[in-house]
Amino acid sequence: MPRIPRVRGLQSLQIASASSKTLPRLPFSATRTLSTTAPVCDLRSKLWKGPAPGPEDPYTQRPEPEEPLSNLPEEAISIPRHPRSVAKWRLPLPPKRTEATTEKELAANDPTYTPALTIEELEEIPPFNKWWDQPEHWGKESEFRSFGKAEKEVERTIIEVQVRRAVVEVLSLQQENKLAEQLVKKWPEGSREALEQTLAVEIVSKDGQFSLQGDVSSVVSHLTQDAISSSEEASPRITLEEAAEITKKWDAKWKEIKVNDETKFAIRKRIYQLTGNLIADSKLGAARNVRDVLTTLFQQRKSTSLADELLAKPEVTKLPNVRVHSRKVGPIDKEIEIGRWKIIEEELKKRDLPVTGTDGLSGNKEREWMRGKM
Amino acid sequence: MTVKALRAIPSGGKNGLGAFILQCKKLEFHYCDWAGSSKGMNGFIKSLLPKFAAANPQIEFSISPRPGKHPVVTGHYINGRTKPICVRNLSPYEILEKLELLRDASGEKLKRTNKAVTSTKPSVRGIWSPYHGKGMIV
Repeated sequence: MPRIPRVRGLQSLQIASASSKTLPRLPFSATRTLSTTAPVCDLRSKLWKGPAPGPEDPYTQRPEPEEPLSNLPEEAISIPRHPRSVAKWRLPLPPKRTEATTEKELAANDPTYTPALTIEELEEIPPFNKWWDQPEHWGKESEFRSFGKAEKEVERTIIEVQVRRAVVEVLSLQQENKLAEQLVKKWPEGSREALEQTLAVEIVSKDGQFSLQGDVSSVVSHLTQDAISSSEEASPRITLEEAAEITKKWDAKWKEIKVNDETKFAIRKRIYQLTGNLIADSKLGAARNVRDVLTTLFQQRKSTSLADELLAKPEVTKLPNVRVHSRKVGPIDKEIEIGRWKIIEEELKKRDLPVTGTDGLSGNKEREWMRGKM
Repeated sequence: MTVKALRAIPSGGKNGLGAFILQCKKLEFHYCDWAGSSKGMNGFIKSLLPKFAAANPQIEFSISPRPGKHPVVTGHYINGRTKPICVRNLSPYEILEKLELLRDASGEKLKRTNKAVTSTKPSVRGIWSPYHGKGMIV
């Protein structure tokens, strides 16, 4: 029973909204029985000199709602407010706030409904702010697809083969006058067949001038086909032995090919796509020929840690009194070394205390009180 | 098995010389692979440490990284004390000097010595002096 007399019990929002939908609310003036048109018109003619502005009877005739004025030109207004990427995305957005049906309503609709008796039986719904933490709310389109190869190539011979491929591709595009057009596009990684065709093209030098000999048009056709359609096929992997076989075929003269800014950019982009090795701008700027590009690529090896270097040295590993640790020696490691950690761990577990960390507990509060901190 | 001081001097020992044990039992090296202050230390570990360790077989050497920290060399002594020295921005040869200091240290706290002789059992009569008492005429 409601506490306040003459006030009904609170209706659920759904029922209230349903009732309001069935009976559309009429304007106040429409519900009135008495019409005030005549005296209003008289009053308005007395108030205004000449014709009164606005509708004849402003109390019953409502003016059409005017669209909000905007200073923007018409073209700007017609542009959709959200960018295409946002408008097109298929990510499941959190649903609008709704009110759960009451127990009474549910029982009326579904006779098999039985209310939960324990908290475990209730459905658990994560809060609103954790919506994007759930992996099922992210689609495949949200996955990061890198342009460069994910695994960096470290083998020199394989890098050399890929550089040769990039150089041949760039030169053949240049020969067909398509380089400027293709520079900004994503080139397809290409099938095994395309790779073999590209490597079959020979680079011939004559009086310091380099030219291509072979099926240049097929190389260009492989590059100019749509990258998206051919992106499904994985780039062909070259084994070390294959690369060694391939590199034997050519002499070192091709490395003297001069590179300008345009070819440098194209080669760098292609190498990044094929091997995952990105040459720094500063290094690339200093490169004059293909040999310089190759040198910078070979120097890019990840610096090994000092521990790895020491462990590779026999004069250090042979010494019986020297121990090299590859990671930080912490307090637990020190306890393990003297054989005390097992006992500490057992005793901590026996007392239901966290073995590592503080189990989310704060530090010593009493010490702070003693020091006068709050 | 840790090194401990001798409880008794062996019979063959002369003035403790026969029983000499280096007081420094362990040297710990901490370095950072990335930081610039460890540059000298990393060079030292690579180039000079193998020779130093080979020359001092009675000392245990432990080399471990400590990322994001200045390089430190810590000496552990048989009296249970430790002596850490920060070697940031030092060159390999400067670090070698510090290492020699740590190796030759006794591990005791540093004390001011204003007497010529220090002894664990000082004489009740004091040190004999030619200028006092009857003495000899110089």
